Amino acid sequence: MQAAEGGGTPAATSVYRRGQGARAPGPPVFVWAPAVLVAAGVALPLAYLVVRTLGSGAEAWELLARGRTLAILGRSLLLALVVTGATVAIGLPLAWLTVRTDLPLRRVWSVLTALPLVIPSYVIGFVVVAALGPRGMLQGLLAGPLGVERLPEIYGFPGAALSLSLVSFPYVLLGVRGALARLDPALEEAARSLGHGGWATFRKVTLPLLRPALAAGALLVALYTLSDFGAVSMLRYETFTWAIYLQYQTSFDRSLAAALSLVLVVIAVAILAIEAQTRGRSRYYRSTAGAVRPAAAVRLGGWRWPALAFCSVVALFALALPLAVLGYWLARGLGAGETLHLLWGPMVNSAYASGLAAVATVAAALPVVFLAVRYRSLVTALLERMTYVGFALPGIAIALSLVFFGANYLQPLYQSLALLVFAYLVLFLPTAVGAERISLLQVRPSLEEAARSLGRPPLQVLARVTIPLMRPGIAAGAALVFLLTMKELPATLILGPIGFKTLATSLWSSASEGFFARAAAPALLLVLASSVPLAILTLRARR
Amino acid sequence: MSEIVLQCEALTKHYGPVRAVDGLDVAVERGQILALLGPSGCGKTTTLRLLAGFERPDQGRILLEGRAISDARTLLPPERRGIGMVFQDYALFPHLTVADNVGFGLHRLRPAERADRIRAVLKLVGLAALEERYPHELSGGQQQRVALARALAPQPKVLLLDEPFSNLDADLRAQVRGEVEQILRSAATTAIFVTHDQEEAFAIADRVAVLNEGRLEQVGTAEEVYHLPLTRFVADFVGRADFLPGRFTGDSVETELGRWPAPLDLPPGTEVEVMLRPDDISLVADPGGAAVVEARQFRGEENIYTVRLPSGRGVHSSSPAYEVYAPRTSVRVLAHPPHVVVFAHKRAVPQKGPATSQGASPSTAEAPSAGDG
Repeated sequence: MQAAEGGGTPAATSVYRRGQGARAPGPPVFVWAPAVLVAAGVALPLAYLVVRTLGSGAEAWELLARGRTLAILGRSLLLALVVTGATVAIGLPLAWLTVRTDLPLRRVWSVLTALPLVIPSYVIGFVVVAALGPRGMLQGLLAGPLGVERLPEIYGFPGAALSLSLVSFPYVLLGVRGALARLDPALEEAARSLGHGGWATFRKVTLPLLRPALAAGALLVALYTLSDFGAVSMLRYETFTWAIYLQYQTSFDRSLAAALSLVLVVIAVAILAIEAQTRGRSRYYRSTAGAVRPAAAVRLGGWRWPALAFCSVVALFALALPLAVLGYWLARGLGAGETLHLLWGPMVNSAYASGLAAVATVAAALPVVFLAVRYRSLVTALLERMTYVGFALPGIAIALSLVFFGANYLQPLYQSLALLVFAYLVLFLPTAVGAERISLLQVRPSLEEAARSLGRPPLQVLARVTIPLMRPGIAAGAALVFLLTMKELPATLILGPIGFKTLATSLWSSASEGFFARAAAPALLLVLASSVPLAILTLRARR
Repeated sequence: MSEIVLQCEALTKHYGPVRAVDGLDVAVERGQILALLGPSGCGKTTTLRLLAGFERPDQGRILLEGRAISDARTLLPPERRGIGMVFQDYALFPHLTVADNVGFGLHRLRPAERADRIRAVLKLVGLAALEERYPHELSGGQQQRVALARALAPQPKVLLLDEPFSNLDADLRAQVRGEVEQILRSAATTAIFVTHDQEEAFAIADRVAVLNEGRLEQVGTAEEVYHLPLTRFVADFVGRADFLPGRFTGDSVETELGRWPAPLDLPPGTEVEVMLRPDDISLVADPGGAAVVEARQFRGEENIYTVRLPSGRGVHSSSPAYEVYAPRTSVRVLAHPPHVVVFAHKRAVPQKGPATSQGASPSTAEAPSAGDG
């Protein structure tokens, strides 16, 4: 018994702590208490919005029932519909080309076409205005030789639809690409062996199998469009978000802003409910679990050239031209004596606020994830669902609600950085929860049980085993929240302390005042900063 | 050595309407290795998890060295039980080296002591050279031994092993099994392991507890469980068995394959079933034989024949690998059970002796290896 040479009797060498305790294997208090606190805190803005709207009584309902509200609703839905259609038309063929064909430079295209994800919508909106608007680049180019004085109006629907399609098609693209890569090629081969041609197979087998991913991507785009503030505010198209902001800025009575926010929230929740349903159904469409054999690449033959042209056009409009436009205005500004050192303050502020938000959000997500994954029950699932409020609530609605709440009840916190960081937390908690959830699901419960059976109490198991193993997920969550916070505009505009300028707000104010040259530098910086976490994530994933 | 270390009484665990463990009484003595043997879903893994403290029992109690660690009022958390566990998937911490894995349960020791213990245990399992490796850099068999070393390091009062060999390739399994038994014996560990493989249970365990639907069917040595099964379930599950109809005639029981001393008193004329193992039955080629070879399954070390008796009933025989009879060969069947095990026929017999879950009363008797076809 060499192993036992610790000395003495078994009782003396025992490394287990003695003790009695009648504890149920339920969640320990250090897990459920913070989780409940987080869920309650996150639910606060929505609850307050409801209370506030219902409390303002008949007046708000009258305001809502006016024709103007219907017009806003109509514009919002039209925009969502057109943008969703456009993104499917761009994303689906791109996904297929970059996953399943022998497209030349396939790898390059799959990176380039996903990159617009890092461009905030207001940057694209700004680019569209700066390129195609009055006093913009195109007019400048055409005015000289051709004497063109006026271009077709870019403000309003066309500009907003264009901008939002260009930034949001990667949602469809990435979702469908993932589904295509997971799809078992044996299913398509079976269809071919049963006498179906390539096109018939795509139509009868591939497309139905992709439908859940496609639907989920499309609904995400619709939600993104509805809650987007940046592009519609740049292009002055009065959908819900822009109308809410105008109402908030111009009117002393903010009841209508609150009521409009609530309507927007209801629509967003409806879209999410539909999305959840398609996601639930996708399980039945799921092909074989685990790694599947990669499919043989489809030979494009002569179709290679149109395919290449398509990819180039998308990359040109969504990536190259915007960067070129920003570069042009930056060069012009520098030439005209603009200085860059004014940027330093907003840059520090952006990084500071984003860092705080990342840390706070990742920490708040942990107890929720532990509870939902390790102690699954109806109650814990509900609690986790509650933290998804940020998905449903457009940033502007959360910001407004917190403004009201802060002004009425939390005077010292009103217009403080703390309240702003809290708004970020509410908005981006779902992202952190999602990332941590995946990584916790990969930690086998037997590892934690092993640690318990080796004499470690639950808190130590968490600190020594579970959290270290979740580190990749936590890091990914933090990076994503950092990125999202950098790009966030409406909440920062409304809740930022006085004089607290971030890259996003300084870009927005310069651009909306027509100082294109001054807006170009923060825009480029934002794009650059946003690409860093994505690049890290991509490199990590590759390893 | 007959001191009971761990025992459970009337242990019960439900999952909804399913009784995973249903009134289980089992005990293990110091230094003994006990196998929980049963088909999948029989509740053996749940039993292990109840003993380890990962699940809360609905009823019953668990005593460790005479002290209740789980009863109506007490539920000692796993970290305070001093019960080690080797998990089916090994559950090695992927972020820690072999040495840190093994030292994980030694957090109450001083660093020097801890290092000594880690070294000693790794030496015991023959992995001293691999201290600094990470789990993913080890083979399946090595991971197994690290898991064993880790569980042994804090010197648990009892070690639980959940299907310890199921993740190993078949060719490695027998070898690792031997090594593990060697390690457990040399550390004088009291152990309970769960398996669905009787060969595994027989190879390692001092005693085998056969479980079915959350209940204990029988506990005993491997030989007892194999030769003297108490229930039809045990007879069926542990090894292959045929059940031949028989009839009591005074002090013996008469079947199509012979007449053997009756193991118990039943009224003459009572209909019973006699259990016959394939190795109780041998074949002799005989053109005049009444039985016919129906199929042969070559298993390497033996042939398993299915033979049709004149009554139309099929029985199985284990014959040497070199004894090959073609299908439809006429043979003589010789039955020579070392123990006569009879189960009272379900319909015909009034219950006598201890009733079992099968509604049959099993009885056994030593019998001279007798009988002819």
